[in-house]
Amino acid sequence: MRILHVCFASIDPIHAEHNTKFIIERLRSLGNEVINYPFWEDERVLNKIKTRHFQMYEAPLDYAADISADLIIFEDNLASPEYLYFSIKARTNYKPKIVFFMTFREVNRSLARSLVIKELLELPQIHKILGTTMIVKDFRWPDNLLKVEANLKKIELVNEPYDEDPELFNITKAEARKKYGFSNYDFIALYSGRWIYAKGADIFAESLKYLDDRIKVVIHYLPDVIDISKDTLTIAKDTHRNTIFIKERFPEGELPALYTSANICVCSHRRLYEYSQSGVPGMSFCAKNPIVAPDFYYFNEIVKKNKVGVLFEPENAKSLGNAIMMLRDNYDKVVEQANFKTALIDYIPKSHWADKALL
Amino acid sequence: MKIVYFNGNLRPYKDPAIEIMEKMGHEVIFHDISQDEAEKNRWHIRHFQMYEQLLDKAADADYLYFSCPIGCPEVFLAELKVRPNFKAKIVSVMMFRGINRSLARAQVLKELLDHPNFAKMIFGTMILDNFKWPENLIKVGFDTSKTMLVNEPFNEDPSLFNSISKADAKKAFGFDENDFVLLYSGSWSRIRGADLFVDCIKHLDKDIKVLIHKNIPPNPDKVNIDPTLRLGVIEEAKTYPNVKVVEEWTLEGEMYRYYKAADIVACSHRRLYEYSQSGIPNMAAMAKVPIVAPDFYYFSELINRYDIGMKYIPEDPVDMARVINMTKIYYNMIIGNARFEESLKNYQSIADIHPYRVLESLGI
Repeated sequence: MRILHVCFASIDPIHAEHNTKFIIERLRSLGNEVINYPFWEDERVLNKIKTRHFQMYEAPLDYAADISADLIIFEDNLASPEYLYFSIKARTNYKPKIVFFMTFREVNRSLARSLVIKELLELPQIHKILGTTMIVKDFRWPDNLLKVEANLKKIELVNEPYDEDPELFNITKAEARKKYGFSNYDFIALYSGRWIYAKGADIFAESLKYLDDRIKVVIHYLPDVIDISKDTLTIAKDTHRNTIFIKERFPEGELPALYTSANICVCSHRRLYEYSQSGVPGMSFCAKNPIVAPDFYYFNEIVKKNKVGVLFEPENAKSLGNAIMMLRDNYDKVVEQANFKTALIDYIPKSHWADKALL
Repeated sequence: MKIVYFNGNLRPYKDPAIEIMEKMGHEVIFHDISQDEAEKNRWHIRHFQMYEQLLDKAADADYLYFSCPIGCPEVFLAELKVRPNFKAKIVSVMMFRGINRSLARAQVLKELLDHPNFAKMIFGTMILDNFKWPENLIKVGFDTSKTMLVNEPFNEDPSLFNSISKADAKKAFGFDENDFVLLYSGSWSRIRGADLFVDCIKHLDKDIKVLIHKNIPPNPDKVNIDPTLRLGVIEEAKTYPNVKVVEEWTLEGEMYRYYKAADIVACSHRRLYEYSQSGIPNMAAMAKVPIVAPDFYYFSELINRYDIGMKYIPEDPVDMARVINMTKIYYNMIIGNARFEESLKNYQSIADIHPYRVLESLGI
């Protein structure tokens, strides 16, 4: 089969191969010809934010038709299924089949979004959706998808891998702390990832006023991915004097040390993140750290089932602060009871995703 | 009739049309987005929530009127589809932006217009007579009979342009009355080519004074301005000795000062802006100032018809500078040929055009 592989994060040919090497290698080993969509040559696609994502889908769709591809795999989570839907519909007699990844974000909040997914699934060109979840076994389908009677047989569930090789987590806590200049006596609460609204960065900043100084707060964020007021960073800094900031994008292989250096990891995500995939819990459990997480699916399911953390009232800064304090006060007991290994059981290597895509 | 009137402007604005409709005996529910906290987060929630709230509010209305373009028509259509009992007829302003670049977007507009609740789509254009419909809309079989073309109204009272002399307007910005002033005015965004304009400055004749009016909202950090614009562009502009930057939130009724102070107005819009409505050409025409604009529809059409300025190769800052320099050299000739008033013949004031739109759409 000739497969066009589309990864929106590909900014050059090296990135395209490296970012997605597990899937690509697997597809090739199965005898397929895999071509990476050259985003780095497409000025229109690089301006995707201003073109409301249409170009992101239209350009690869036309490219696939031009090279007579049999299948397109959109590897990034499909943020705007409605754009893909109209991009396909606007093309008469479109031949290539399509597989794409998708989170279930907002599906339960919006019936309209579920309807879009249902209609997309009904297009004959859609071969499969790979639904990324934190839970594969005993997955509870979003009510809205059931309500609109979406064809769930066309959805394969896959668990987001924790972007890092689990072996890299063999670094000791002491070594990891030395690397970042942290003391062995610090109790570290780590916020790692994008400083954005969906992840509740502002809620986390506000929660810091409920913490005492025994907790060292480490905020690792990407300075180029901020979609809320930058004042929230100042609030975090001014509210809790024992707060430090790490603002850089680590290359792959670096994150295990950062996660291992912490005691707990904070997931302050907003309700619109319900049903969405997050990489933080997986990384945290690999480092044997409990999490503080909002009380909604999937976070609550994982935490309750495996006793790997503490839940808080979603979007409530005080509840979040209290949960962090509670975890600190009962840390040894929580870690002793936590089943980090079983919490990770649903995670599968990314190379297996290729097999699911071709099913 | 019960009409839900939606204002998509982030700043408070009450359309004069509302009062007129109320006087006619209609019940008008004003849904003001600028006062809606949840809506301000729409960038994060992909518009679903915004349309949910609005459609729920209009559930028992006779008409739902959008005074702004439906920014995400694909989302709006999905929201309509999950409300099979929604009875209000919908009238909306819509924009052509990006239409010829995206067949999918054209498909969305077609399907939205085909929806039984959709009564009328109103497109703002810069050209009314002999309008050339975008090719992609024709390709997908768009039903133009349910549409209405309107010319964007001026946002200013024309009499304001006579309230100050050019010399005084220039002095107000610290220029000498003999200075040759080039104006960039409006939102500081990538689509408007703010960065292209700054790139062009270094190629300009050194005796051209540049006035940059960076119109910023009162809380720029609270709204999504334009994350795609190259960082540091405004700082770069300030490093040129012939550049004066004014950063202020300028309301309607104050814009004329900038246009009056200018000798040329630059439109540095990117190709994405093709078919989009811009208020600049008419503001410039009211101030009797030529524009320098990219060579694509509608700018090119306005310049071809009325000689109100000069064209350059789109997205080429060197060519933009070359054309500005040439305009300065041949300024008197260009001004002499320009038919500013003729170019303005179709424009209507905002107070006139909104009731006109609404009443015609309702068939009253």
